[in-house]
Amino acid sequence: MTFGKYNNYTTIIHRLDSRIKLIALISFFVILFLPYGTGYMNLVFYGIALILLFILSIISKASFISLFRSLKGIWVMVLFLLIISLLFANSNSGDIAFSIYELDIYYSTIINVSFVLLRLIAILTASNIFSSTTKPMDMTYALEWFFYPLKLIKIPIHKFAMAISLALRFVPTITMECQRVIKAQASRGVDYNQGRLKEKFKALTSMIIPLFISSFMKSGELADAMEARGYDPDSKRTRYKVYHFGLKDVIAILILVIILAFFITACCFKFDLFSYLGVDLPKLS
Amino acid sequence: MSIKFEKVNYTYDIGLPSEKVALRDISHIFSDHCFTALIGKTGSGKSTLLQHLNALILPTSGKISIGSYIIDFSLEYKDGKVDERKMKRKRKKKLKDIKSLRKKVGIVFQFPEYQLFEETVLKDVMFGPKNFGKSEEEAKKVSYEALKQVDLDSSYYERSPFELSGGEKRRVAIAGILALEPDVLVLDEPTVGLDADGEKNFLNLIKDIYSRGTSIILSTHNMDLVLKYAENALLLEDGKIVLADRPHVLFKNEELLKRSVLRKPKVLEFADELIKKGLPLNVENIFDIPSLAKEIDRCKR
Repeated sequence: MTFGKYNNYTTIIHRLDSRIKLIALISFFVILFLPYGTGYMNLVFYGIALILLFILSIISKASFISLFRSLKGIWVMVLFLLIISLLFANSNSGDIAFSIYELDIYYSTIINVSFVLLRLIAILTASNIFSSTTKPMDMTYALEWFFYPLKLIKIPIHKFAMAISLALRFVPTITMECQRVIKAQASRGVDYNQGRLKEKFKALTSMIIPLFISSFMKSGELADAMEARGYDPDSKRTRYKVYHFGLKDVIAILILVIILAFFITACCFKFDLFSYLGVDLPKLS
Repeated sequence: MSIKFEKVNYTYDIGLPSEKVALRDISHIFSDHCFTALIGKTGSGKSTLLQHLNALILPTSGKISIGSYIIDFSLEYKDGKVDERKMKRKRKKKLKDIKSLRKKVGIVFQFPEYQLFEETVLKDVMFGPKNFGKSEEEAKKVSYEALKQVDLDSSYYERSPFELSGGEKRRVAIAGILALEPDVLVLDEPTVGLDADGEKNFLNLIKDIYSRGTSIILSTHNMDLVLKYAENALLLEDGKIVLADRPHVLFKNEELLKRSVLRKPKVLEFADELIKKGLPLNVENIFDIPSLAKEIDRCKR
């Protein structure tokens, strides 16, 4: 199971209108980039957002394992962020957490790094939910719908939408093709996992070239097939599946608005929970 | 080299909504120097079974012995139940020296486009032997040999494999596998997309390879081919082997043929008509048109 691959369950999230899901995704991105006052409050609110996303993940049966597997490389990121934060002195103020030899590590650095991390995990979780519950075709439908205003200034969005939907449509096909090529070459003794770098490179070309050739052939054939069935990029198109807003969609919008309102209010008031409760935390600046 | 399957099961996409059982309890022995044809409806598990032959797919459970190479995923039981922990540990172990296995069993896939990539035909055929540790010179030698076997002369050597026709491409692809000098040659629906002449030449080629001591295992929908060339027919139905016997036994079993939507070879249909008309033909002696003619001739005398 790969990260973000559509899974064919029928949970409530799967059945929601794809436009709402897209708005929800964007709203969560907004929530994750709003400032909530102090660094501690940022942590708290990003944490809340992350918990909400985890709940959504469970409801939508999006695969956690693949998500965490894709986070394996995150430690490199943490190290990188730490080094960057240490190099830029202006974030190094306030109380010192601990020092390694001459190097002082500040609380603010740790907090900064951790909320960037939280944000990253949350973004990945949100994208994972969206892409594993929304069929590629529905995604393009949502995109096309949102870009509708551009039609008024004569931008051929339906052509773009067709291109995107075709590209998405061919991702699984090419993945399958790729596996076939790998198998065919493996029977000829190619080992994609072992060997020196030069051998690996050679092994890679033995996979990529057949893949390119079959993709070009496929695209040519597809174009012919579309033309043979009378596809005209400039004519008005109808839809096989017509989308209707249902009660569940309305409820979903209401919930989304409530969540968004909560976070925006928190952002506007910059309410400092910790000083209100009188908790003494290390100074950040 | 014989290949032994013991209770092999394979399931695609375990634990997903698209989960599909492809092989169920397959037990079979492909004997040394055999010519076996796998037949069955599309989706009956032929290709999956073929890919098990050189560990491109590993069984979900079961044991496969390919010569001295053993892939053992047979189920472990504990208190009458499958011991999942032990199975997990078994599956985690990396297979050793899988290359030596792939050298012995060569698979030719249905579409040659999936493996051609070099600039010239010769280089492409040499790619396999070089992967298995042959020197440039040796690889060239076996490649010439392999290309000669598939009837491509030296005018092809320096051409790009992509400018060839479908049949020629397939021959290059087969040469690429033959150059590995495998003990067992596996072919996945090899005659699809070849013209009548190409098919005939191709089958003669396979017969030739077979007579030189290489085992042939192929999947096909072409019953004439099965009758004429195969020693053994393996009929798969929904991932199970329903019949493993000589082709003649299969073609006598009308009920099975009907169930698997198979059509009798034309010669046998013709022979049946002749028998109905009162000619005492011995069906067992009929493999193709010449043997049918011979049989008719025998009856007339």
